[in-house]
Formats: sequence, structure tokens, C-alpha cells
Amino acid sequence: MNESKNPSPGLGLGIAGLVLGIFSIPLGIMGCTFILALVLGILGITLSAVGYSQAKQADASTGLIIAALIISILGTSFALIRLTHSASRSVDIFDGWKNKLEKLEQKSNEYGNSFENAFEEGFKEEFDEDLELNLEDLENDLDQLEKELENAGDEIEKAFEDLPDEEKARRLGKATGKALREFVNELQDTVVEEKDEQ
Amino acid sequence: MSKKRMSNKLNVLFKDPYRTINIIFTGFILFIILYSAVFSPETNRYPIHSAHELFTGSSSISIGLSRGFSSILRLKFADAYNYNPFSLRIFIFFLLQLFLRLFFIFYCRKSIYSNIRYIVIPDSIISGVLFLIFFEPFWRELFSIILD
Repeated sequence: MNESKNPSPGLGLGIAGLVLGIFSIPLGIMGCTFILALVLGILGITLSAVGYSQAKQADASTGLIIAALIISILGTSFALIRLTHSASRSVDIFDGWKNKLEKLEQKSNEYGNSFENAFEEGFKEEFDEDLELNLEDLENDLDQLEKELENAGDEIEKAFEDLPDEEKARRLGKATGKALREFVNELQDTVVEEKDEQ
Repeated sequence: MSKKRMSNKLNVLFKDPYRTINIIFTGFILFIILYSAVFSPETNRYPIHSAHELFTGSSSISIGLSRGFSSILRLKFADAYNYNPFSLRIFIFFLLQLFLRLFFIFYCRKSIYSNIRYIVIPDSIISGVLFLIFFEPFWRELFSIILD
């Protein structure tokens, strides 16, 4: 009963393997489809191998299955050759780009250093001062300005302490109104300028 | 009743492995023709992209084959040549294979099955030789890669 249902074990898998193997050969020799060929070839080898073991166990004929195995291996080999070729070329391209980037980095460093030196020299010639000294002066000026601002803040706080609450509120309201008016005016000017630009 | 008859017909059709393989190949070639008819070079929305181009950024020998097939189906042979100079010869190979598969499917139906070897062996030789001839530029390129 079982024999009549499956007269040649492994034959179905062998046919599937043969078809996949035959597909993988033209796809493998073409440059664009080698990944598809690789997948089909590996599937073909797997199915044929399983079919072969089934056929061997049942002592059935293995001619077609061996043909499927050979053709699948051929297709996979062609796809592998293409894959290796493309991969090696992509590595070459990658190395080329890497070298170019390294050279670019080196050049930019050289240009950066030469620019820095030239700028320092130019600054010295123009202002007869060292750039670093000048930067220190600028930092000192900024520190002084910060201290002055802090003092001014303290003075404002002191002035507010002596005033009654109503006066504080009145002055704050007046200052806020003035600031808001200035802000609105600036905003309007900006909008008008943008419109003019458009 | 009709279901049983249909199933019997299918059983007869797929009983022979050789005929099964021929039917699958016929389906595959018809699928390629349908694929080329559905997609067009103008819209260029082909779902299969070049793996070689993906890896290297450069074009390969088989680039433009799908667009070439589509152009051939639209009878724009000059366009097909421009997309890929080998597209016409590969398309002719598939057409020949389609005729061969259909011929062997119908020939097998009328033939005596004890002589199947006399059909399979010539078919394999003819198909193999046709494959070698029509895919010759691809073989040549593959061997140049191996020799490099």
C-alpha cells in the first residue's frame, strides 16, 4: 500500500533539486543575480542530498538525484565565483576610498596648521601683539564686565528693598510694559524687513 | 465527478518526472515573459536589482537585461540593444527553450514511456549546446574572472 503511494522515494526532492540547480546555473554566470543563484543552488544541494539519502535507504534509482546534486553544485560554484569577485572588488573600492580619506585628513591637518601659523604671524605683524596675550586681555575684560553686572544687580535689589510694595509693583509694571513695547516694535521691524526681502 | 477527472488528468500530467520538469521550466519562462511585460524601462520599477552593482557600485555584463527584455516585448529592439547588447540573444534562448519545453511536453504525451531516455538525452544535449552558445559572452567573462 505504501509502495504504491511512493514508488520512488527521494525522486520528488531530486526533481526539485534539479530544477533549482538548473535555475542557479544561468543566474550564477550572470553578474547581477548571483545572490539568487547562490540561494537556489544551496537549496538544490540540500534537497538533492536529502533525496539521495532517501533513495539510498529505499534502494531506489539515484541517477536523476545525482544529476541534480552535480548541477546544483555547479550553479553554486558559479555564484560563489561571482560573489568572491564582487566582494574583492568592493574591498578594493573601499580601500581606495579609505586611502583617499586618509590623504584628505592629512592634507586638511597640514592646511590647518599652516593657516594657524600664518594667522598668528599676521596678527603679530598687524597689531604688534601676541594673539595669546590679546586673548588673555579679552578674557580679563569679560570677567570685569561680569563683575560689574553682578554689582549693578545687587544695587537694583538694594534700591528695591527700601521701596514700599505698591511702588515696587508700579515700577515693575512700568518696566515690563516698556520692555514689551520694545519687543513688539522689534518684532514688527523684523516682519517688515522679512517682507521687504521677499 | 469533474473534480475526480481533473485530479486524474493532473496525476497523468505529473506522473513522469521529465514532463514535470518541462512544465516547471515552461512556467518559469512564461513568468520571465510576464515579468518583462508588466515592468517597463520607462517606469523602471523592477524589483530585482543588480547584486554586483550593490557590492561594487559599478555595472556588470548582465546589467539592463530586464529592461532589454521589456523593450524587446514592446518591439523596441534598438532600445533593448542599448540597455544590454546581449539581451536579444538571451531572449531568443528563452523563446527557443519555451518551444522545446512545449514540444517535449506534447511529444512525451504521445510517446511510449519505455523510450524516455531517447528523449531526455537529446534534449539535454541540445539545451546544453544552446546554453553554451547563447550565454557565450557570460561564460567568457566568468572564465576571465577565474583566470585573473
